[in-house]
Amino acid sequence: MRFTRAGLLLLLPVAGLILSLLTGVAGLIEQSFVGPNGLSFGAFRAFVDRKETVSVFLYTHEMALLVSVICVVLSFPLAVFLARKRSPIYTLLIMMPLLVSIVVRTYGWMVILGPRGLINTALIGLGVTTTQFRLMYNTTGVVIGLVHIYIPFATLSILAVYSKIDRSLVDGATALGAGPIRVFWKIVLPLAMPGILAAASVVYLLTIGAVVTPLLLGSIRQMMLGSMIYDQMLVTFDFRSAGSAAVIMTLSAAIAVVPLQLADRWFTRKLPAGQL
Amino acid sequence: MTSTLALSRRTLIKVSGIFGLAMPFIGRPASAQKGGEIIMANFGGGPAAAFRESYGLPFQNETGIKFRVVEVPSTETALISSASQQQYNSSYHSYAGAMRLYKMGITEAIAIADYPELAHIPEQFLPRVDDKHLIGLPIHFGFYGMVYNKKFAAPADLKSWQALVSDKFKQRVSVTRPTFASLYDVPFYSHMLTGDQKKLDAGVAQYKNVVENSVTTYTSMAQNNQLLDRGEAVACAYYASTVWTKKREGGSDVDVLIPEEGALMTPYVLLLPKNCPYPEAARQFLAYASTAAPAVRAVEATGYLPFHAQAQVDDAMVKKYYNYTLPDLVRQLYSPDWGYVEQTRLELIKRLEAEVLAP
Repeated sequence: MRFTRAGLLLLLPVAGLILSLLTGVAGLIEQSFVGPNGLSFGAFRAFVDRKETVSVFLYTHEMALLVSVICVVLSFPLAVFLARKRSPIYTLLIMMPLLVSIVVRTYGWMVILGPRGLINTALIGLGVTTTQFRLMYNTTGVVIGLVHIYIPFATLSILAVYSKIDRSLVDGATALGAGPIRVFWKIVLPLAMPGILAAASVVYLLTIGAVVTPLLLGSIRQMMLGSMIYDQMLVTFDFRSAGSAAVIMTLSAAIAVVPLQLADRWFTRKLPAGQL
Repeated sequence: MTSTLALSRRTLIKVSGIFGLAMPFIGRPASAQKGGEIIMANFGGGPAAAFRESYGLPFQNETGIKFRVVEVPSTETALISSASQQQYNSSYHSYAGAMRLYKMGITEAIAIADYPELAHIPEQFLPRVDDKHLIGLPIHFGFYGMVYNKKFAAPADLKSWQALVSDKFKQRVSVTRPTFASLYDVPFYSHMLTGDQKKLDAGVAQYKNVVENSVTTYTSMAQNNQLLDRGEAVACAYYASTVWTKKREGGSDVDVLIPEEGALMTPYVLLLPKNCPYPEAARQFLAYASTAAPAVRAVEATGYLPFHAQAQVDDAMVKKYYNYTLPDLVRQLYSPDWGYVEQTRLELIKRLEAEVLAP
């Protein structure tokens, strides 16, 4: 591979980024494995031995799974709608929330879901209920907030694949007598599967690292790994624990998305030639 | 297009060389200032502005030494993260935070003999390293009172801290997370329930009960201010200075009271980071900050009250914003052994997390 001088110049920032990333990761790994007397697995053992950190770990992955499934289910019809409309305005509407800070969007949900928020006030005002519904400071609130934040990522991932599905396959199946449900299960879904799996992977990984939304829309029992690491790094300066938690988080996230990636490859291989 | 970019290998080497040579100077505060400069790490918002107006600018006018506040989310993190090449030469901290930094070797002790004004600070508020040294310069204090929304709770309902665990306020109070409860709530509850801050079992149990009675555990002051303003949390143990600021800004439904068991004093210090830029200017600033005048000037903007015995604080103003006169206030405040608080904090956080997070 030959590079022009300008091409080499463009590689400089890329090299800088990779170097910064590797330096940070190396520092993190070093911190988590080095104890007062050299190499140590103490921080990892402490993570596993503490019921509360294991509970935070499991809760984080449960949330990632839940949010991924909900995002995919909600994003699929959205992607179909966008693909059929073929208008950049709709795509822009899906992407617009990304222009607003996560903190601002999460505060917006607090105003809507809070004990004295829009929904509770309206329901009580309309006489539907006399007591406040608990819509936030629990898992429900965190899920609503995370789904709202990650839906654009899932939608765009599915849209990229769905929009390339050859319509003649659907028309052909219909012409041969397949009903809409059969067409969906036998044609559309398998062809869209790489996009669905990519969406699930992206949302899963983003949810694993979520910090702000669980902090604001959840309570202490909704603590996730990202929030825990934030506290360990910036409040208690327990860098070893934070490093080990970050390593565990990264590895477990990688392991969790491996099946999705394998499934993605399997589906892609099964696609007829010319698809994707 | 790319081939027209005139960048020779020689130029690239030159640019890299210049950049490399400049590296040692990048990140250092503006250098070559006569007499140096004060670069203070401080929390954003009110305290930072108050320090600039009450301490910084008068000091700058008096000495010609430039004063700058750098607003950071956590002053402890700011000092730790720049410890290898310290950026700040003054920093503002809670007592426990200051003790932690000193133990970590991030800050240096100050000699009592160098600051004659310290003679006016009551002995019990001096954060001593030994007979001759302090961890930092004690300047003022606030308190951790019962902050409540007047629209949803009456003072009569909040006469005791036990109100926070009562059925009347079930899911209507807020509480801080273990990281800060380990500093304030638990040591105070331990003292309140047993008369001994070291009997942590009682404090931990009380904190757990408050968590179970709470609508949520707040993660930032901005969040708790909103909870209180909207009445989503009716009451909580919280910084009284937020009430002072709200009242001063034009009133709100949020007020503060001290329950019959008293309230926790929250003292603050200025620290001298190790290997800081312009150490002489920094010491000069500390000497200035140890006098009564700047602390008195900062009272109105912050609600923090000076330690300096000769500070003349407008008692009517204290009564107006805190509902108590200064002597009445001080009489009801409890000041724990912050050294013990700091010493036990990390283990206490783990214990609190185990209590409230474990399945």
